[in-house]
Amino acid sequence: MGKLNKKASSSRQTSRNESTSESKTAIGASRSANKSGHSWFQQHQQVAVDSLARLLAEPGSSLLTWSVIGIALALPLCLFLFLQNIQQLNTNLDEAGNISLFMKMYVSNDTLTKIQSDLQEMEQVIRVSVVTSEQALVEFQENSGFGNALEGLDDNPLPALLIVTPSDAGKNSLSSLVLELEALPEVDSAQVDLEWIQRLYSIINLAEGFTTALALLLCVGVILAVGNTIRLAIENRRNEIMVVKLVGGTDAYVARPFLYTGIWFGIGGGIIATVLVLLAFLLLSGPVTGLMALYGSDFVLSGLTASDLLTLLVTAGGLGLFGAWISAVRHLRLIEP
Amino acid sequence: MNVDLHLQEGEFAFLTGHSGAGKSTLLKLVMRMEKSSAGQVLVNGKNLNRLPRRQLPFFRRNIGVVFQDHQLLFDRTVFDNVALPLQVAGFSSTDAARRVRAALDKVGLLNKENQNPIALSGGEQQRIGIARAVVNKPALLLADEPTGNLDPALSEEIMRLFEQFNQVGTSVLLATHDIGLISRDKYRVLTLDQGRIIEDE
Repeated sequence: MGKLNKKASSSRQTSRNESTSESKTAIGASRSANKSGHSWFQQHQQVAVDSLARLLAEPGSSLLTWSVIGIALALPLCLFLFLQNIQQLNTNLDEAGNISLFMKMYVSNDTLTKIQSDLQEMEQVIRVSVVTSEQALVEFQENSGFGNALEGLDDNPLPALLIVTPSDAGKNSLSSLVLELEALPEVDSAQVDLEWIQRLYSIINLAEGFTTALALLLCVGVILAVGNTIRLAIENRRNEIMVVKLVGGTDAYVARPFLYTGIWFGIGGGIIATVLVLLAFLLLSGPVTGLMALYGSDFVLSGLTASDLLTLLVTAGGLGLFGAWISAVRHLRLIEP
Repeated sequence: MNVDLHLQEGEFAFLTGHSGAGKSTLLKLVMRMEKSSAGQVLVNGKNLNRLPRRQLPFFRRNIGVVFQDHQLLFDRTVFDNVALPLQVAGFSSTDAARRVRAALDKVGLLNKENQNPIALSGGEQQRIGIARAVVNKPALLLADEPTGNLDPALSEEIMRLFEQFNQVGTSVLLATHDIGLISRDKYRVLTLDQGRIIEDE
């Protein structure tokens, strides 16, 4: 046979002597491929479009997966929006948690001012406003319609009032603050305004924790759903994957279409979730506005903002990508020609 | 199997023997579709047993393979089938198109580039498989029973193609049990039996 040449000698040897001239040969056969960024981008674009086209070519089964993802995302989304709306009540009802201190009748206006400045020194207090008994009387006469009845009285029956706005620290230890203030000798009684709202907030906090846990759980569900769908897709294209690997496709090349498929599943699911939330919103906003009008509030149900929508789609796409990635890493390794 | 053989650059060799003699296994060893349990497989100076998994695709880009069942993908056109090795290697689409057409022209199927290979005859499908194997201009061409299902005239045609590629410098290792194909030729013939080379002429 001809003499040993530089490249492309194929040999199988059982002897222990490794031919040194062979091991030094250059890798001359590999053609340098066009690796320009343009080509790389072109390839990604192509794969992205192809994988979307593949999904759209089977609208039935794709829609099924999209719906599963959409419903899984819509549930926590609705809960978050609901909570967000309730929290809007928080800002609407600023006075919630104020403490009204009804003073004893003998307390003079001077003493009142002194107590006011004393209280304002306290760490748990933001602001203290004074309603003297005279002011209270005027206000009562104006608002209650009992003005004439009061004129028949010799003395002003209304006590002076201090309205204490607690700081956040004060709100957290509201009951001890109330006890402390009530213990002041000049104070007749203390009352927390709209105490129920405070209770509502703690319930909302609890619900938020619950919703977060639920959202995490459903995100895992989305990842698993996408992962499983991708596993089936890989199984269906087993032959193609085999051929691609045989002609020199890298793991990344083989995985790429499946990763894009995952992203499309996520984004499609996100779109369906958006539609579901918008539907729920349309159904609810009429009744809610009506209800709030009965309470004299101009509260308006707030829906998804553009940035919410963007976050949702990016998150959904990310979840899809992650699910597809886990599945691709696991299952593509098993197809090894 | 246990063989000791050496194929030179630019050489044309037949691999023959009964079914189960180890022809396919030998080709698979060269492709690193299978790993040898003992001994060494050196291809282009590389010890395949020590080739890291990550390097495998790049190694395979230097080898063209023609399968008996041609392994074409029926979800795409003839053109796209042949373009596959270029696509995975990251060729730009214009460069790839030029090479694909050149390869299709060589096997005489340029006019079928937009058809689905499922619509073509067995001989045509095999030629597309060959076009795909050579489109990347590999240094080594492996063929496992490339004429297995074809009549003598078509086999002859396919043989001539392999000879043409060999004439431009490609090493060819062709596994076949088609004695007619071998006897009329002046090439090296390796005869395998039960995993051993019993004849090398």
